[in-house]
Amino acid sequence: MLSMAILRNRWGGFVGTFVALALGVGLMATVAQVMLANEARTPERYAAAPVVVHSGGLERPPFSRERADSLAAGLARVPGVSGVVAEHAFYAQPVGTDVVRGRGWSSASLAGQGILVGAVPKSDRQIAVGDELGLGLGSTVTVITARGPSAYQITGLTKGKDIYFSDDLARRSAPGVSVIGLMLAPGADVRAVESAASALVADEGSVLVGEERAALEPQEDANRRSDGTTLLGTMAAIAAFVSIFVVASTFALSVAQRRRELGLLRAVGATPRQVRRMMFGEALGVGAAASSCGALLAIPLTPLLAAMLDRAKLVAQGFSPTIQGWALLAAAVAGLVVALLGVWSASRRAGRVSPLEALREAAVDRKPMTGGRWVFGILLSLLGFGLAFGSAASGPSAVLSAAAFAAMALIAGLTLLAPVIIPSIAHITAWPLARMRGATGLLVRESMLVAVRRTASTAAPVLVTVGFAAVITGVIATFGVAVTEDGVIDARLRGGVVVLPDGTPGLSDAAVAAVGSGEGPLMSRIYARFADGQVSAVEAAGVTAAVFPMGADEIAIAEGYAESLDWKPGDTVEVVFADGERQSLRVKKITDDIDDDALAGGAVLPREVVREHDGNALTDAVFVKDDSAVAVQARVRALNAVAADPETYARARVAREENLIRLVVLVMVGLSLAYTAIAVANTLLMATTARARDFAVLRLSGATARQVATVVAAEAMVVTGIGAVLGFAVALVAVGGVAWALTKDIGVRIPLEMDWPVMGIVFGVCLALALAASVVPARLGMRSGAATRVD
Amino acid sequence: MFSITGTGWLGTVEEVVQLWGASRVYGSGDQAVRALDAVTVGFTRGTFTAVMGPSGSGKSTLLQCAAGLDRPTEGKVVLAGVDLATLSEHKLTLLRRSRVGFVFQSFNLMSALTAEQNIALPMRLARKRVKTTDLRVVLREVGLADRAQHRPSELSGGQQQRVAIARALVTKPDVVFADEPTGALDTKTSHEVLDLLRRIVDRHGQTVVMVTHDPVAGAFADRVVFLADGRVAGELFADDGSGQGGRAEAIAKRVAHLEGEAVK
Repeated sequence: MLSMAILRNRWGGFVGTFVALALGVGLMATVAQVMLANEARTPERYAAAPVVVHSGGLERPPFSRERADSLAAGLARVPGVSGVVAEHAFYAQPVGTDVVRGRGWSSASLAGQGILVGAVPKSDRQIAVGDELGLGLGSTVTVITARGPSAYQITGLTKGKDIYFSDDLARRSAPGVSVIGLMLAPGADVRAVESAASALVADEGSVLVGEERAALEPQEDANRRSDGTTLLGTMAAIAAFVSIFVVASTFALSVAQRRRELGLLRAVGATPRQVRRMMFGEALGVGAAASSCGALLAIPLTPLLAAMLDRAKLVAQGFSPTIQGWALLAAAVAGLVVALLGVWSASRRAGRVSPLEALREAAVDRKPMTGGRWVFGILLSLLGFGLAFGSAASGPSAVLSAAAFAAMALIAGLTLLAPVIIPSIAHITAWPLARMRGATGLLVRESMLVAVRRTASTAAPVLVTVGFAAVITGVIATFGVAVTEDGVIDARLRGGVVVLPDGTPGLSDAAVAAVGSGEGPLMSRIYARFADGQVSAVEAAGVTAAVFPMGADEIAIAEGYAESLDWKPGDTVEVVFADGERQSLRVKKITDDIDDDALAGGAVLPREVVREHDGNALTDAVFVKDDSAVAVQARVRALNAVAADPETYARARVAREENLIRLVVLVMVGLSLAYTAIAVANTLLMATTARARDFAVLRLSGATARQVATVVAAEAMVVTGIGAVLGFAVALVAVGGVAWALTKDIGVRIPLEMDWPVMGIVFGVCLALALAASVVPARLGMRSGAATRVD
Repeated sequence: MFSITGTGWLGTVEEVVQLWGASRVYGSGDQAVRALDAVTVGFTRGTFTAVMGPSGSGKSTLLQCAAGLDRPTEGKVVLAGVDLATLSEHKLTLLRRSRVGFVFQSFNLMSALTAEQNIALPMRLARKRVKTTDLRVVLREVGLADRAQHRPSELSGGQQQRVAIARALVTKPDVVFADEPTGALDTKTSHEVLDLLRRIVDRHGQTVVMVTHDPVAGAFADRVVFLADGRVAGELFADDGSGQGGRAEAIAKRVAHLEGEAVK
């Protein structure tokens, strides 16, 4: 009864909490739905193959052509199997599209597709394309393969976006078989076929049925999804964190302001437990209302977020989220939990209010620090430090998440230690204030120092906003510098001009030949057994004899891999190539990272050997010495390549990754900004309206309305400044840690970069909000005349 | 029960509240302030006692310790036969809730609740069922039957005090403590409130202990206990001889005398 009565009567004080919580729940619900839709799904192209044999991606080498043939023959004899197709897939890109995979025509039946119009491709120069590509039946299309561009004639159209070649051509072009699809006769027992197939395949691969086939999604999609999921998870975590923060600080302030009323309740007979329960009741009331509204918010927000992520290429193709009722419900429940968590500490303090508080006039905080705050404050701060410095340079999205969590831990830790830190900082900033002539400095200083809780509650949201904005933008900026430095070192060592692919995943042999001179490794992979018994893929670079002379049966390996493979120079080792062929090689040399950049990373083989075993291999870039970019550009332009100097090359690498995240980063910064805008405004509004009596006393002592407003504004500015400085300090630690980790990783000193313009804007917005939220209610209060009545 | 006041003019007595050598010290070292200094005093059931003295004499502190709102640093407080030092905060609250009523000078009511809800509050906190008829009776007793649904902001100062008294009475407590209940009211309203307090003692045998600085208010009481520098400095009983006016004058003289002593 009491909670409801108070809520109904005092709803104004809860508006801030309501809005913040509703937004938080809305965001969590939206993220949940997007994440659900972002899960791995069975690719459409295996829709008609209920059972699929998969060689295993990065853990096992693909089947060789002969092995695939014999397996297919064996599988065809399994009862219930109506058709077996070994998929031959290879790099093929029609010029001007972003399709990068071509298959033999027989693969079309795995997708349940047939020719819509026209005929099946039979000869080497024929091709069938999907109708969504906008290419006309009978026309000629140039398709780029690893060898170079060739012209094909479109003999037929299918549904969708795939391209199909003749089975003969595909068989010759594909380096190996990793997928064998089985089509079943109607009424066949899937489980029986599965076990029969497993018996045949043994440990050479795995047999996938049903949703297990989601493992077949292309690696690019898997990477995109994982990046997207990481970022979504971080967004949800930030939303939850900031929600708890706002709710907690609002309730803390509310308890401090209602101590007289709480004291009265205690005097009239409420036990501490009853007071605590009353606060929980209030939190539940606000929480329930806010959570329901927030969950409904997710309905319009989900398509928006989905579109944004799709544009940033952080979700799989064919991504379409739907409204899942239970996800909304879960988010609403999470919102309630957040409300209860946020009020927990405030409720304990409320329970400790003594009945005598009902008689007390001044709001002097006694012992705001408890043992718990010390312990958790220090622990969390240490955790934040650790996270910041331990963040390894492992891809921008992971670094960003680590930095965001580091920031959260630091912010939480600092907030808990605020009653100790803020007075100390306030004393320092107040020292010049006390020396000012006039009353403003004195009033601001004393008021700040006495009402520690209020000062901390106002500084904290600013701390959060500035801290998050600075960390997120700072990490991006620092990371950008690091990748650029890394790239520039890399390229400068090797040559004056870099030739890069333009719109294709790599350079074809024709493009490399057109460059004429220079070096560029052919990138592929080999499979080997590691010392721990596991087979895994190792990146392999094919180089010419000019770079590193080697025999056709020799291999060189990087230091890092040599240890875990247990290979030593002179050893004879067995590897499997990308086409599934097994071969014994002699280890010629263990390469050192510092030794030669061209060989760094993984295994090194002669270029011809790599080309022989991987018809799909492409060259990432060609580094040319002693030639001008213009001349090279003229030669390669027609072959989907572009020539640039090393700086541009390095920056291009950064730009590609940066664009991927910039959109989401801006959302995160904007998010925390919106939140803490609410918190700052809310806290100051509550605080200022409660100080009406103080202002009245000031007026009666002879201050004009403008002087009172100046005091209020000055205090707001000082407190905002303190919050900003602390937030900046948090960012320095977090971003500094990232810079340190990157420096260790790359070997060049990476400076700590901050995005000053963004931070300036963020600080400006916080300041403007703080001023508005304190001066306006103060002025309004004084105008209404309530200010001169001291009672 | 051993009576501190001995056999006063009321004859054999039963004391609802007793303080034995109670002291209350604030602060420590040379900053220490002795608000109460070894005070031994008892309050008889069914009487109206006023506690008076110069400002800073410790009267509010005495009330707070007697009511269980504060704990004395030394000595003991016995309320309705229970030694308060033996109670935990929780049990103390329960005792207060059922046996004690309070009225403060101001800020007595929850602004979010109506008069009726405010009066019912202690019972509801005790999880006892409240009969609306009982509430109405109490409201009529204080003369506010028509203001049951009004919130404190819609009531005058005097009306708020009367609602506070009604709330203090609804649990039928052993003792009602009032800390300057008329301090913020004008003369006419003060009289109404004091009349009400007098009435509940006379008609219903309630025990009232009131702290006040106003000699006219003190004249309503059966007995006035004077405090100075945290110690008991005398008493005055209401003889049926002098009228209320005469008593008020005597009280004023005594207080002035004590204040003069304090200055010395």
